[in-house]
Amino acid sequence: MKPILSYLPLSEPTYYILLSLAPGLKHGYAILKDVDEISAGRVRLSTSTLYGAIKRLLELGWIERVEEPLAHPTERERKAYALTPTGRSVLEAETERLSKLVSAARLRAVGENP
Amino acid sequence: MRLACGRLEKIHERAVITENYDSGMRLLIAVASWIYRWIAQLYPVDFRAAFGAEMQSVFDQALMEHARNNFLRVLAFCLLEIKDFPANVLRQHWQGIWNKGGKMSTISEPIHNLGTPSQKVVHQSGDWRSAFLAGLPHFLVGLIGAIGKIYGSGAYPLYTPIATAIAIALMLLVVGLLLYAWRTHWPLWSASWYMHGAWIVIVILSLGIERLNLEESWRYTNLLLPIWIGACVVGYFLILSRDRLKGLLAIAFVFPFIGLGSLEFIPNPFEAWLAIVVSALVALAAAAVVRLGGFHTALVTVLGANALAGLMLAYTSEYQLKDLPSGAPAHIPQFSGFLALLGLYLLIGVGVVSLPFLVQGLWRFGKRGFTS
Repeated sequence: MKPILSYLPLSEPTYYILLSLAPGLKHGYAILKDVDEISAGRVRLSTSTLYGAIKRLLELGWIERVEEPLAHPTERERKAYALTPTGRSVLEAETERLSKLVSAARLRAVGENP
Repeated sequence: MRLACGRLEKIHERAVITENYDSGMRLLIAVASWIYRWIAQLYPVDFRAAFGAEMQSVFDQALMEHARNNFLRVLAFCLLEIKDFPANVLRQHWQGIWNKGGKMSTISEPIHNLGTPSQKVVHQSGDWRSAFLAGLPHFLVGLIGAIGKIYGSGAYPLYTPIATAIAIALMLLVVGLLLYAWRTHWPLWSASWYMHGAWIVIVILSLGIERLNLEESWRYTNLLLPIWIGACVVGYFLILSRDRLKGLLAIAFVFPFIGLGSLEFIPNPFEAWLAIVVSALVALAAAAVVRLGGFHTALVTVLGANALAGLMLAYTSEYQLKDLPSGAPAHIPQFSGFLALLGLYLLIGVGVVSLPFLVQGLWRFGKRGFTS
């Protein structure tokens, strides 16, 4: 298995999908809406991009597919997605990398314009 | 019955949901959803089986959500889908063809193993239909070549329209079968059609270039041959790296095909019969490869067919060289000449089949040595 750092940096849609799943499992449409919301409308996923990414993340073992618990017995079963421990580690590593990047940029910006 | 009930339930559900919209918007939602369902068929079978229903459901939900706002939001959403769709479909096919996927992770159910380690692909014995489809392109090419040799002398006024009709029919057949192969997830017999599909593309391009009446257009058409060979070589190595038997079937009969095309100064009727016999032999061998399934049996079959084709080509090149241009010295057939040609053809026939495997083996050996 490749080390986590070799997968970084993540593409923006991948990062946002993982971030969207961080609080708990979500189904496809909820991910689509959440990515739109957390990126402040900057990243809009189409269904083909979303499911292409979901397939890749499933293959990498970063997310897993589960049955969403039904709120009412009359509801139809839906598939939902959840982060795996590997996926969470990747998300944390990427967040760490990005925060270091931003810290470095801020330091330089402060140094140049005191 | 259960399926029909499910569909009715869905239609009813949709009608209830969409009744909040005006009639124009309802029509737009219905049409967009219908179009999406149809174009989603362009995804590979495995991908559709794993995500098709979910994608449709997400698309419908998003569409209805946007429809609550205004028409422009619906349009923007549809444009985004259209923009992303082709690249994603191609990416999934690319991954599907070369089995780049791994096993998907699930908790509650096994969904689909979208990719298997390439060298573990094992083909079972194929049915007669698959065997027929594997042999068909080889025989057709030989048959059409033979017809061209017999009737292409210009003495038959109907030759051009009939030849055009046959060429169009063949093109449609190749395209149709490649589409069918794609829909059925590239079965083993489809490997027989790769080379012919690529060949037809080259022929169409050549005809197009000739139609342009460019200065020295023959240079461009001649350039297509090495491009075709290069594309075949790259394609074969990619196929071989994933599935040995498919790779074997794809490369197996390059030699008889090119050998027949390179014959010169042979009387046309003889060449026509030779094309039919060689292509029938090759077609039988391709059918046997699919019918039998095992790699080693297939390798022996292919090498045997190539050796026999080499024998026939060597005999023809040495003993049937009778249509020499006027003024050229007469050719006296010699057994030593025949043996030299036979040796050369056997070398090429066996080399074309075994060289890729040899290179692949050396590559793996080198790679293993490098990584260890």
